[in-house]
Amino acid sequence: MPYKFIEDIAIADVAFEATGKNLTELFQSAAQATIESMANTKTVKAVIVKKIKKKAKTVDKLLFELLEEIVYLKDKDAIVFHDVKVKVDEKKLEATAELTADKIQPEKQELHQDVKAVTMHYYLVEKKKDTWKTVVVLDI
Amino acid sequence: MINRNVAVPEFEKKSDVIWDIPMSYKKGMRVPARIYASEKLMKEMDLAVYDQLTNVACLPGIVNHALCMPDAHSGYGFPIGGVAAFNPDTGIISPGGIGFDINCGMRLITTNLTLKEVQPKIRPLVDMLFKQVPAGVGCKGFVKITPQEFKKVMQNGAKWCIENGYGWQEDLERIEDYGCIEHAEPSKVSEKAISRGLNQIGTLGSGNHYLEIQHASQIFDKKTAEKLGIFSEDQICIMVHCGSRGFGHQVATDHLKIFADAMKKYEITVPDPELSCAPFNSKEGQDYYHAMACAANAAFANRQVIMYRIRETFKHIFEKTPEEMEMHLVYDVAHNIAKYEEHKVDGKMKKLVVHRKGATRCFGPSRTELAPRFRKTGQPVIIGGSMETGSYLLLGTDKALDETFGSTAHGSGRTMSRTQARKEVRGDLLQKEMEKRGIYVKTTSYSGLAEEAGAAYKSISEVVDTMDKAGISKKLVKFSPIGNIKG
Repeated sequence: MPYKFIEDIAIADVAFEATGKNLTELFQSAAQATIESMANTKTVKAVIVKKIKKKAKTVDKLLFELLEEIVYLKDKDAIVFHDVKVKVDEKKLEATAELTADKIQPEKQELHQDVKAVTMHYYLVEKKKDTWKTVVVLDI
Repeated sequence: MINRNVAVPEFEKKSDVIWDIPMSYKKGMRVPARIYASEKLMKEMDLAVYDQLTNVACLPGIVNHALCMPDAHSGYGFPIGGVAAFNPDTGIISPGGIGFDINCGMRLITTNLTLKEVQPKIRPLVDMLFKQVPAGVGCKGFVKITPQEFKKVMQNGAKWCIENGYGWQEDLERIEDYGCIEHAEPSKVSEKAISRGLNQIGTLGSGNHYLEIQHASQIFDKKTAEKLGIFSEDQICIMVHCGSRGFGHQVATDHLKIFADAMKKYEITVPDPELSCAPFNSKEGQDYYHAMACAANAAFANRQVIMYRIRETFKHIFEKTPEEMEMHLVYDVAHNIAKYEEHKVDGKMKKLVVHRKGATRCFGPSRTELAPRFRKTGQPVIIGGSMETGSYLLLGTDKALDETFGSTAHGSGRTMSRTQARKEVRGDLLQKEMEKRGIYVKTTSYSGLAEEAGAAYKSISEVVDTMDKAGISKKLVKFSPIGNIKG
């Protein structure tokens, strides 16, 4: 999966860089990094299905909205995620995501961080040559 | 955008622990920046702090200095450990000056139990607390309320808890602002924020949040410590660090987006998008202030319910009532908040919007906001250290009112990133090593535990000594951990 966690951008928090050849790949990578920052997805069963649909005026706002919704669902439903599949309609600037998840069970799952928010700190979405890249800092 | 390649400013050394950055350092600075730190802490300071602090000094309506406490490290917008006060008529309010975890704060509770009595029962005690006070990712609390009832929590804070049986009447006067901040308006809070936080009352969360069993290990002023209920160096106390959970995080997220548009409307430009702000007296500014007060009150309620669970757990383990064990609240303080307070500016008392982000209010004895029992001692200030090194109880001073808008440090401050800490420390080994040293830790996440290792933090003693030496907050008691719950 084309994402990596970055050290020393945010001393008390979690930062990652994600890339993709198109927006679907970019959003997929960023969403995957976000759910991995909450729990080891391999230790979470696919019991619950959650769907997200977001529309925005710009690519950076669209990605921000998508990631923010994932963070929101984690708290609202007390779940962590097993997998995510994202599709982006680049013309309509519309993202849809289907997430599989399970109720939080610390004794059965390897939990990581309780992400509080997606931040604007160093937030970046850009296309260079044929590759999209984002940098995201999650508040912990 | 934050500049990581920050030129070290030419500081004007004002004393051994006060360093100024003049307005000439950066174009647009409206006031100088002032850092409270020892030489050692200055050498360890994350350089981005200077960039962020001088960005804060550029904000409209800022008064006197942009201040930085000795435990500072870089954050979003404001540095963590940042304090700034704004003229309400010409100045702004900024969620970046408060943080996502609105009213993250500290609570300290006494017992009359001794180290000798508690140590043999530390495992069952911590194990039961771990069940009673949920911690970790997305944890849910035991309090089940409707969205309508949650609005009462937003308006009444800790008072709601007392009315519903989660505490003692005396608890309220031992909480900042009696556990209920004025101007809370639930109509300014989104349904999304409510649904996110509704089930989280009485939970710790994760990150650096914890519940710790400690003993007083050094008392610096016995007579005053006794007035606050701390009598001997083997006395057991309990410390709690947490905030407004998902509810506060969503309030901050919602309003940051609103402020991004508001800045265009009010033609405010800021050097960093995380400093987005709105005039305090604008609709957007007031809406955020009222919503922030709701989140602050929810955080007071959260810590109050946690204390209720702690009292119940001690009752079960030690087979005595909380009253018999003298489980009194020493104090509860916020360290991520904006407050509308009166302070002296150019010799005259003026209302200001004081932002404290990773900084604690530390009012001296003269302030009438304090309950009568603190008008001789000054306000108690709780400084949480890392789970390995211990914590402090301090007292606010009137000097702090003259110099720092009545503010001091909040903790030890990170020096190592979470990723780096995970590389250097293994959570399971750390847990075993701490147990050998007499500290029993329960956690929901070994990686989370590794991230909170003592080595990832500055020396807390250096931090509190700096503020003691500056006369801003005086050392009263040092506490050492014997049991800890980490989210």
